[in-house]
Amino acid sequence: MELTFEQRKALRRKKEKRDKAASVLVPTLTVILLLAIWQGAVIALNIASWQLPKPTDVFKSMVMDFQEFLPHIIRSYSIIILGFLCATVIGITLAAVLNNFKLLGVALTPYINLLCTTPVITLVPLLLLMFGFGQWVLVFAVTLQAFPILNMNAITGFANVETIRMELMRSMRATRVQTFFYCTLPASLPHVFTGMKLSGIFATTACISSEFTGGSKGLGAQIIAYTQFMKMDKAFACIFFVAIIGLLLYTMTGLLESKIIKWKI
Amino acid sequence: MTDTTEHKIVLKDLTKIFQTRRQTIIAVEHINMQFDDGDFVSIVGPSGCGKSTIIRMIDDIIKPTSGQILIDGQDITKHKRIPEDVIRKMGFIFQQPNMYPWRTVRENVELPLKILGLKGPEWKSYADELIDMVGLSAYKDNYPTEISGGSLQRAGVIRAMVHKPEILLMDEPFGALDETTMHQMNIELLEIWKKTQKTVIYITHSVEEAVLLSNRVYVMGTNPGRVVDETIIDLPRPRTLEMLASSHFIEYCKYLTAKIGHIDLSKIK
Repeated sequence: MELTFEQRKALRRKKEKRDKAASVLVPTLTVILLLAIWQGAVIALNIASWQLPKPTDVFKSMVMDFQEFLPHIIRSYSIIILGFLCATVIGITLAAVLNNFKLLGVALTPYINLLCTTPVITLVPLLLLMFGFGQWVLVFAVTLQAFPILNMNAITGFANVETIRMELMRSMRATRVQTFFYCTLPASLPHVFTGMKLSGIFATTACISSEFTGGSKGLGAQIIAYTQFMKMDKAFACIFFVAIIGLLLYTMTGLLESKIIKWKI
Repeated sequence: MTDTTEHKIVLKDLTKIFQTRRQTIIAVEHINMQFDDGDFVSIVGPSGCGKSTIIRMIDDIIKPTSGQILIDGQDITKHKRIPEDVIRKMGFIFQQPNMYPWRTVRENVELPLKILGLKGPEWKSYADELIDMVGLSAYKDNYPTEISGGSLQRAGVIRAMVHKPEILLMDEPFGALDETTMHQMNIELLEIWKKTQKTVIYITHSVEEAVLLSNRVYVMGTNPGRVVDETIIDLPRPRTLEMLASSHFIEYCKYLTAKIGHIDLSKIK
């Protein structure tokens, strides 16, 4: 017997729910398992705490010394998030412009690729020398590192919309703006979101590595400082806080993606 | 030829040459065709004969290399941007449903209204009327991935009609469907054509489809794409599926098949 659309839909929803539950549960279990192995190994092999702290010590430090970390968390997180947001706006807008004005695209693409392949950390000492250790310099550096990868992905998406979809727009004589918002952008959203996820990773990396180069503020600077004083539990606590923002950006983008691309099967 | 303004659409000496990096391809050469108001004309031919190129040139999706396209006497090849009133006269139906998966069926059907800036409740209710007519009311708030191929192509047909065009340009619209569904859609299309009195230019590679639907059939050949025959199909209307077995119908099919040409085996070595 053939199922009706409603029944098929209900079945699919049910399966989706099960899959979703599994996709949360399984990784959580593996993380717990890994931490347990780590904990067990440190105890069993009698590793000194200045070499590798126990996960429990790291978590204890994350809670007990939270006040000490907080200003640095705020600083790094705000730099990463601001940089990421700027990169998102610039990356997508620029891709739209370059896609519409081919000559500009040809002229600028090599430089954008170059920006993408050059680690921003190589520029940071210069930037700091020129503009000082301000927060905005780092936001600038993070943006600079994070936008090209999104821009490249978005352009790939914009340039590869199926011909027949574009022909529909053309047959109605849609304007460039209409074509972009009704066809090009929605058709390439999967590419855009992939770009955003990568951009988030680049933003985090750029911020922390920039903070490594100097100054006393931010999680990156703290990791260096604590390591020098062999306070490994605190250094690892900072590393975990960095991991958290990276993961947060990634999952939030994924969540936004599944909210927006609701037509995907 | 007589005065060209009498016809709804006239193609005069139309040629399209595609220039690729490696070679020059003459897609179609010296095409002359006429389509009257309310006419139903098919263009059949083997793949590569340029039939899709012709209908895309009429809809100004691609520009001809030389020649004229007159729509109601107005030469559209003269304009860099085709005038709004001319574009509104035409609706294009693709080989695939070409529904945007990010819009519901209703949103897809109403897309031309948005693009062409046709606001107001009368347009909305006309869209609903069309959705009703092809039996998609129950699925109009579904996304395209949730409904069947035949239903999607119905949506594709009415999307091209939602802005009340006078001309329907159909590029092998039912070619991807199975034969039963195809014939069913053919009959539905004839119903719609009778009701709306539109001029239809129908591209197909199926001789049967062309004979079943049309008043007149152009046969095209390849290398370069050109018109090799023009035949009036003098079968009574309304056309029915029973006709497919009639001797008259089969005669037409045989004749057109012969015109499309023999398979050239000399090229295979």
